[in-house]
Amino acid sequence: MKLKELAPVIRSKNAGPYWYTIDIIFDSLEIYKAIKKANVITREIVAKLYHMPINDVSEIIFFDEGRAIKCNIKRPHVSGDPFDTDVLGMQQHAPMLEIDLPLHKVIAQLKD
Amino acid sequence: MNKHTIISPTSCMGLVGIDEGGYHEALKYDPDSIAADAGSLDPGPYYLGSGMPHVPKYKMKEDCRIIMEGIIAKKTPVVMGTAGGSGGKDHIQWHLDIINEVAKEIGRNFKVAIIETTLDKDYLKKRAGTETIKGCNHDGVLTEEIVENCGEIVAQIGVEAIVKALELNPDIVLAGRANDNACFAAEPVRRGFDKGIALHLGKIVECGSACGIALPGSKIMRTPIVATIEDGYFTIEPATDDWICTVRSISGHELYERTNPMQQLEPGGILDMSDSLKTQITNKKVKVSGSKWIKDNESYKVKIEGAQKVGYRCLFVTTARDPEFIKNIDWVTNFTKNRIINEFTPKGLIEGKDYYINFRIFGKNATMGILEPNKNIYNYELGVTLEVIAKTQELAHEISYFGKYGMVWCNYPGRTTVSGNVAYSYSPSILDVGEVYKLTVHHILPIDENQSLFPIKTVEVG
Repeated sequence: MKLKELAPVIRSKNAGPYWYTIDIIFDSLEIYKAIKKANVITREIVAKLYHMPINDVSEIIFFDEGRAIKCNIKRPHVSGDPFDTDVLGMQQHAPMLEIDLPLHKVIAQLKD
Repeated sequence: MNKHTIISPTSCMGLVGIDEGGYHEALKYDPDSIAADAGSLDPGPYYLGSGMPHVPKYKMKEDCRIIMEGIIAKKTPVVMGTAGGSGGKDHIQWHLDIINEVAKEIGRNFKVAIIETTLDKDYLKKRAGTETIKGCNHDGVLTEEIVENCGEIVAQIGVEAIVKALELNPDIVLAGRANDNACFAAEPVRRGFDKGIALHLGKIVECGSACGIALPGSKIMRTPIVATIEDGYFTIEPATDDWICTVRSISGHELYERTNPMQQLEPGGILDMSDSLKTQITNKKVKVSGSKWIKDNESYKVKIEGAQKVGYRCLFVTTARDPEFIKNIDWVTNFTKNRIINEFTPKGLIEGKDYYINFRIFGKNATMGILEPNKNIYNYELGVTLEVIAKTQELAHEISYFGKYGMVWCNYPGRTTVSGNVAYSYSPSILDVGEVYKLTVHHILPIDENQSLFPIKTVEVG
């Protein structure tokens, strides 16, 4: 199942001029918890998705209060540099929409 | 001092506008202070480097008028941070002139305390030459050469510098580059409230109603936010009943534009929100407690920012519909780039040093660049823009002209058209779009705690 089918908010923005930050916010507390426990969104997955070295991807941050998952990725260019493609970082989330979650792993956590 | 109520009228002055009806509703809460920021580094280095504002003047003026009329009614100090968008000297002047115009038009006088946050470059060079001034979120150390080549350099001030201005009893504090959260926290901190709680309040309301949710049927795009700080906690709610704040809407905003929702580096220390507790107390109001201030005991540090001029940009904006051209777009761009380099290298102009060539291929990877996971093009149409940046606008124009004809008439494989390879979007086809800057100073500077680097002056307007 695609991530976008489970999370109503998937967004990106600059977190300062050197990093993009990606937020995935869930409506359902159960689904958020299940995805967190199933460990199906990882640094490795994000690095592969964006073709980046793993060191340019932050640890995945789970923010229970906001039912949110956050990940930071290093910008290929500093914001507003001559070759930058997204000055405010508002369109870097798109590959995340297509993350394919192994549904059986999520459901297994929902049952617990 | 048992409580202190603050209004956050907008996310950023001059940007989306303040809902005037909502603002009048907010004034009914009997605020003790009002705060708003007018910019940040988010729109990129151009505005700081050039001294230009990033919002239209008429809209900034409208927001100033709405806010300033609130001061008249209530005698509450207003803090406006990051004046004019970037907080440089020209930005402060632009913002102050607008405040002055408004004051005259509404027929009132205001005392404005102006905090200058521009740093003297000789002073900074000396510091860079004698100590290690570390990069903020990057590994580059500040050098004398970086300072020399940089335009105006500003420091992002915190609560303490704004408190000093508030002590002068102004109607308005107009701060140069200022930390958004500090603009809200300064007046309650000056009156004795806890700094951790006050800064956390600032962090949540600094983007106005971004911390709330519009109910279905709400006719306003944004609404002012009202926050009240008491002993050990604060509450937060939208000014109008067609909006709500919830634990989740506030938590969602804590993530926004930050790498870490638990801790945030601020001038002089760290705002620690890891033990904070949020409780829904009415359908539209949330209580927040437990946030802490961790003072940096080593020294008081601020972030400094500055942009260097790279040159001037030209754009040759085109589109393409021919399937063979689209298939061969990489061939075309490589050919065009090499042809430019072969033409100008013998003339002593080196690409990557004296000028830069960049292609933006809309429909391929113009949004994500090298991060784009899709390597194939599925579109029947592409946008193809040739950009040239050079030391003068004239040189950028000359190189673009030469580059244009390479792109338009090169013989890519499978070409059936001989009349021209792309559609020009405009006449003139090459657009002079002006100065280009890049961020070169984004560092952490230890300063003396009494904020003597930031002179404050007061003026009467109106």
